[in-house]
Amino acid sequence: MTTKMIAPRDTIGRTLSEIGAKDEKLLVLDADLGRSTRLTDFEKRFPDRYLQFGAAEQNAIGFATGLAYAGWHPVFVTFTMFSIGLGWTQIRQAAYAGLPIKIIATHPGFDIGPDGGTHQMLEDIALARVIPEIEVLSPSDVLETEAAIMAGIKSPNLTFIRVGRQPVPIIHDPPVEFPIGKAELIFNSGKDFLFIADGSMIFETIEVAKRLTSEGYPCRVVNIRTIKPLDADLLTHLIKTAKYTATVENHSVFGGLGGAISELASNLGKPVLRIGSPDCFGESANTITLRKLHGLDTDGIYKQLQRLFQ
Amino acid sequence: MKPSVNVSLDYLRKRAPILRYRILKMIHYAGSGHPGGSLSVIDLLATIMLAWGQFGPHARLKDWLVLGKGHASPAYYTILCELGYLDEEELYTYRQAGSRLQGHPDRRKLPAVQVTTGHLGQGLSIAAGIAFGEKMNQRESKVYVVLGDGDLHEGQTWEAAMAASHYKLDNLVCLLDWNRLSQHGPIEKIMEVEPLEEKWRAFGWNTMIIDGHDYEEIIRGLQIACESEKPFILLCQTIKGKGVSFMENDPLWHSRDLPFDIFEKSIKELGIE
Repeated sequence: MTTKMIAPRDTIGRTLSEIGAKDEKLLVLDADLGRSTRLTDFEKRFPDRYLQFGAAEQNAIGFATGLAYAGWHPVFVTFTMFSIGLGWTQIRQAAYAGLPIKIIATHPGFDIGPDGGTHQMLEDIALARVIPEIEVLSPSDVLETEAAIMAGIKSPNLTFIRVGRQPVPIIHDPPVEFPIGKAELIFNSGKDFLFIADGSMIFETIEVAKRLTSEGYPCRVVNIRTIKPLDADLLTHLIKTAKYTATVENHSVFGGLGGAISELASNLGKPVLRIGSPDCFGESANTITLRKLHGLDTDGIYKQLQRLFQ
Repeated sequence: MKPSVNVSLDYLRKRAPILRYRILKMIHYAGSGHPGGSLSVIDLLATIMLAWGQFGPHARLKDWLVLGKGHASPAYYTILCELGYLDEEELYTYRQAGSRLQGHPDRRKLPAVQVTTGHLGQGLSIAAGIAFGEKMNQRESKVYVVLGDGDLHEGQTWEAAMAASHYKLDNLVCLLDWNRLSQHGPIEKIMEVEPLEEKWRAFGWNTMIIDGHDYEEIIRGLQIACESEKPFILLCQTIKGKGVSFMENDPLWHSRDLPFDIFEKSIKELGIE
């Protein structure tokens, strides 16, 4: 494990180029945010397969659906607010028709900090995972993001891949696999506390688990990797054997990872502590400050665990 | 490339009352549906799919039909039946539990449906994507997309109109079933869309106004549209409820059931007992 900090989004264009070099049917669709979503590498290498739509996302998604009908492999890359947020019915219609278009959704949750609450998408996992047959991928670091994009594009289903904008430590050693539907037990000092986290929250959650371990409380941390489909077998086993279960996410505590785990745990009669953005909009500030304000830094997560004992 | 003609226009003229009868019977059996818009669009669909383009099960190079106004599915299903994709009896399972004939066309339930549609505003984007993809495939098939007035109220339609001309989609032909009535009333009262021809031209399209119930005019329009170097829209003047006098131009018949007495009265007007 290293502590090198890289933004997961930095790999998007590069990884798509790598896939595009082998898959001649791959098309990348942009809605005028290609510099922010790091598409320039693909744009330069494959100008004929890079399609620009301007800030007209609903059309871009419908157009992607049409391209899939004609046998192409379209990937639409933009901020998550403007893909699942602005184009929810269009994505749903593609899923309904059984067309495996791909959505790479960047700048999730507090990652877009200074732009403010208008742009902070803390509801996207909820919106995405409620659609039948869709796959919701939430990779943690840049290496896992690369693997997630590879796996998501290979999948026969419509995939929604949530990719962070802020630099996060690399917590995996290559080669990194991304099996859809399989979670990763990334930290294990014992079974008392079970943390299930996703994306940019994995690193902080591991830090909390280390602190608890040093205080004599054995912990496990699961990197969920795919929020839909859930790795129900592994999670059922871990939730059953844990004394306490908590979820940690860069998303509202409603409907996202915490919602998905609560739905599973309720069948097992187990409560879940959901840590994330409480039911409120964000505000302008840098991401680190926002995480502190909303209790999503290491101290904040640690403090919220007190609620388990109330 | 001029598509080969499948059936004659005389044949279509003879067939039209039967197609209309089947539409009404489907809605009568289902107890719900959209008679007005199905009757206004049927002559367009029949001309494109039976007399002009390549849509049969054995077509060498199949054209595409995107029914943007998916609620007119009874009209579409009757044409799929004409083409031999399904038997007449199956038509009357429309909208019922277990049927392949969903309220809006569903390609996974009924594989003869090329494109799943139903949400207004999305049809033109999907059609433009298909047209772009087919050009990249270097296939000469044409993409026909049929919109209703309601599609013009959706902003996405205009996003797609921009993209289609930006990408020079000369293989895309749009037909507007321009009956000027949406669910709740006349278009100019609901939300004015005029000046329509000027709007489409400003978006980089070629346009032509035709009578959407006159087979010769529809064929002439399609001929010109298919030769255009720009995306083309045929603004087809139609009558909502066409063929049944008491339904014509009355928004009441946009979406409703047809109880037996009304069904009987309407088919008598078609000359069918």
